Amino acid sequence: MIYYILLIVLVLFAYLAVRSRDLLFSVIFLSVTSLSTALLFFLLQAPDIAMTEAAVNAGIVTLIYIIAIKKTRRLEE
Amino acid sequence: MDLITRTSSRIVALVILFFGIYIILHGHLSPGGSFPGGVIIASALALTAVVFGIKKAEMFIGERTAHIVEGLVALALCIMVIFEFFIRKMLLPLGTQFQLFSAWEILTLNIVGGVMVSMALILIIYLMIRG
Repeated sequence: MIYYILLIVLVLFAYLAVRSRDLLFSVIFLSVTSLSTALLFFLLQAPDIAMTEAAVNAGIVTLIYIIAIKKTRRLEE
Repeated sequence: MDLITRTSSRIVALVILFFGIYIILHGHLSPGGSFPGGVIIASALALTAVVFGIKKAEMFIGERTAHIVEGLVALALCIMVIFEFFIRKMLLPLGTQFQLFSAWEILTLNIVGGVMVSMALILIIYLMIRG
């Protein structure tokens, strides 16, 4: 059951990350997507990949995107 | 940054740093290893660099120090891979199961890889912040 909930959350937040006009909200939605992917990897019995996914895609990549948005514009035209 | 972020990240950064060291040291017993542990250590340093400014972060590890440490560690990794047979057969003993300080070759490789990954990622963060 929680497997399908995580899949629906993954697709929903990926759609929101593409369609959002504020780029900072888009980065946060992408972080939620990668956290859902990490939980899916943990449910599929790959805790090594889950730890790497949570550390890289929810930590470093979000930080790099936020620094890049701070250097450029926040709103999409 | 504001007061709440500074006060909370002063505690959280140390916890993240020690969690990364734990992940690297337990690489041969539990899931994880050199790459996730190095990324977690780099995220702790990057949190310091974003919240307290890049001057405070360079008091721990400067950019030139990071370059030198990464080069030396990569050289040590090359030497360990070339002389891997002699190291395994003669210098370091094999480990026993479920004991932390036993498998010395895997432990050394995990520490070397973790230091290399964390130095590379903190250099990327410094370059991104300086712009």
